Amino acid sequence: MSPFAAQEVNEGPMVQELRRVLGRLETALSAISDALVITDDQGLVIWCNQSFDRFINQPRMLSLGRPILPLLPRDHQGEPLLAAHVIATASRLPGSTTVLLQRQPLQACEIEWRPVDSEEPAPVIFCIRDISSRISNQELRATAERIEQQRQNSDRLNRELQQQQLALANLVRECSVTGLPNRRGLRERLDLALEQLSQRDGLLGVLFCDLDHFKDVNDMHGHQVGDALLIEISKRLQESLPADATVSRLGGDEFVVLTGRIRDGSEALAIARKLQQRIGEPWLMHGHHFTPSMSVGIAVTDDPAAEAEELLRRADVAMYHAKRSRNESIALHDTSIEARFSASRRVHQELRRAILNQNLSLAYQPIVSIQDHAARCNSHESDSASGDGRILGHEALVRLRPEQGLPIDSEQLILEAERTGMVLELGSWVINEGLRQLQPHPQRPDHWSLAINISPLQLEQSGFAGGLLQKIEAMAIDPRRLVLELTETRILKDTKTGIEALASLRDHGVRVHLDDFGTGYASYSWLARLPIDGIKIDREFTAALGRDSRRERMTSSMIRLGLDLGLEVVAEGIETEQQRLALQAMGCCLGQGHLFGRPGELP
Amino acid sequence: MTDQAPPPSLEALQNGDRPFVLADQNGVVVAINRAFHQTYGWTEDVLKGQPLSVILPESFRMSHQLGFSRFQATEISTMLAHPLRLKTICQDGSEIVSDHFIVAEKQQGGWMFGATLTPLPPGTPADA
Repeated sequence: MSPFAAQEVNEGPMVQELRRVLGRLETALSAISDALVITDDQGLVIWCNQSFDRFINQPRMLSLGRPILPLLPRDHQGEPLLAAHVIATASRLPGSTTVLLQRQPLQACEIEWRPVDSEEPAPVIFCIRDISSRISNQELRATAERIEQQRQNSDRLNRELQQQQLALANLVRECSVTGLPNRRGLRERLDLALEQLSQRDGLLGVLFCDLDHFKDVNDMHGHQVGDALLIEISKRLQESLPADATVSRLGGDEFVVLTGRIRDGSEALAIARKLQQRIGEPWLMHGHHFTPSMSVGIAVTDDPAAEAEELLRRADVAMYHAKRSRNESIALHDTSIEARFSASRRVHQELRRAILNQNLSLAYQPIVSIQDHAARCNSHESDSASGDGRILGHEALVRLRPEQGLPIDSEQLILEAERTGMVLELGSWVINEGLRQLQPHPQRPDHWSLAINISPLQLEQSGFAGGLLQKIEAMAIDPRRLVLELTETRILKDTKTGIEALASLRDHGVRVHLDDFGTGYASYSWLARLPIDGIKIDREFTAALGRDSRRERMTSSMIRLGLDLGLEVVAEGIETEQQRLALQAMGCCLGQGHLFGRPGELP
Repeated sequence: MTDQAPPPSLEALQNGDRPFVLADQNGVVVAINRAFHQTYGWTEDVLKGQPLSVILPESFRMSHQLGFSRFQATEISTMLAHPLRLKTICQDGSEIVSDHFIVAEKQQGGWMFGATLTPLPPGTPADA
């Protein structure tokens, strides 16, 4: 028999099966990430997997039969990874250790060894596991916990500091700028003054004084000058006070004077006037001349049980009334002021709610031709002017449907909207709604136009003109049919921006009318400066026709001037035929008023 | 394109003048040649039927067995057709560092493995 012929295997199929099993296990052990190595009891390598090859960076053939210790890399300090005694005892004692291979980047491993107890002498199985990521996570967690602890400590210290600051602030009764009593000092003095009311006759007056335009001083000249002005004001107030009166600084540009005992409100008014006179004297600072002024609201009481806060509130309400008044800069709180304040607050609330809920509407009042056919007119409808009362357009007037109570006066609505800045949202709604009506409509004649009121605040908004023109184009509206009415009395603050916006709109065909003409302080000045197409003569002049010859001459003069400048002239508030005829005689071409129709739905 | 000579057959190796040992699919020695006997002292009567690992150092045996088994399971080997410098155990227990060149051949009865050994001068370091 040839020696190369397959021999009959005595071990039989069992050996072959075991070989296959061992082969699979060896393949599997080679694939795992943990480095495995088996040594004999002397520490000589008798088997290892591929991860161990990679760990020591050496092929298996060079490891077999060699002592394990010199094969292993050194730790981060250059020391052997395992102590010699570990190798010496490993065949008897299992164990484990964690070692740091290097710090940057962090590399660490855990080495675990276990003798194969079933054999004598026992080989040792070493398992080497990379735990770098676990160590990193632990370090990160430890760092995070340390930072969190530091944060908590810092928060605690901040809270303690705030409490201490609060406690200190509560002890402070003086304004650090002026040396006057501050809000807390005032409150104590006011409580004391009320208490003393029960012990003597007379009234207590609270004068709430607010400097006018103080913000402008700060903005234009800086806070140093602003503070100097506050100190000067405090000196002047103190110098001008009656002997038993005191002054405190409430904060910002607000001062409060407690009058001491007075006979009545008129005495408080007299004190206020005296203070105003002294405050209004010129003041020179860093080469700049200032003429300070202030508005004063007064509340008086003879009731010792009056609430200090309520008294201050009334004086504050009166001060706001004075500040908003065109004629008076001092106001004594009374029921009418309180009623107006309440009404103003109601308008404010209703307006906010209406804008939020879109609970608004537009009413349209017709603008008609009042001139004879042959008369000279600058009407937009150049070839069809006639005195037949034909409707040439409408003015859109915003209306608010209050959720509670009586309807809100339009004038009051606009004033409140402008005062609070809500006019921007309101104006945007009005424009969108108005433009919707200007879209091509079969029942609107070609010459029909719609006038929409805009606020100077809208005009001064960046991009107002561009945005409006975009809408006009997108909605396929003829821009010549849109008239923007700008109220003369609400003077543009940022004149340059506003004028540029108006000019841009006019360049695209939009017409601009100056509303309420004649009621402002600088009507003729605006005529020269603003790029406009027409004026609307205020209703007060129309109402004066036939009753006030001086105003009548002014009306005639305004109409002539408008026509001479090539402007459209619209008279507002025409309620009678006599007024229409008078205006017609003066050459006015267009009119608006109850005579021709009240605000309502569009036809 | 290069012409590469086919590996010598087990029979040719058996009849060659270099030490040669033949094992079956289970790693059991089935034959040695005269040169093997003359170099390492083993007689065929003694070695025949023994695991091939008896001529390997103790520290190599486990790895050898597992590697042999892995070949059985996968028919993939990293040892075949590569020169390996190993200590070879003689019949008298002495060790001779030799280059082992192992080849495998699939025959009707299964895999057969043959190793040609080249003894190296004393003092030559082994791979294992």
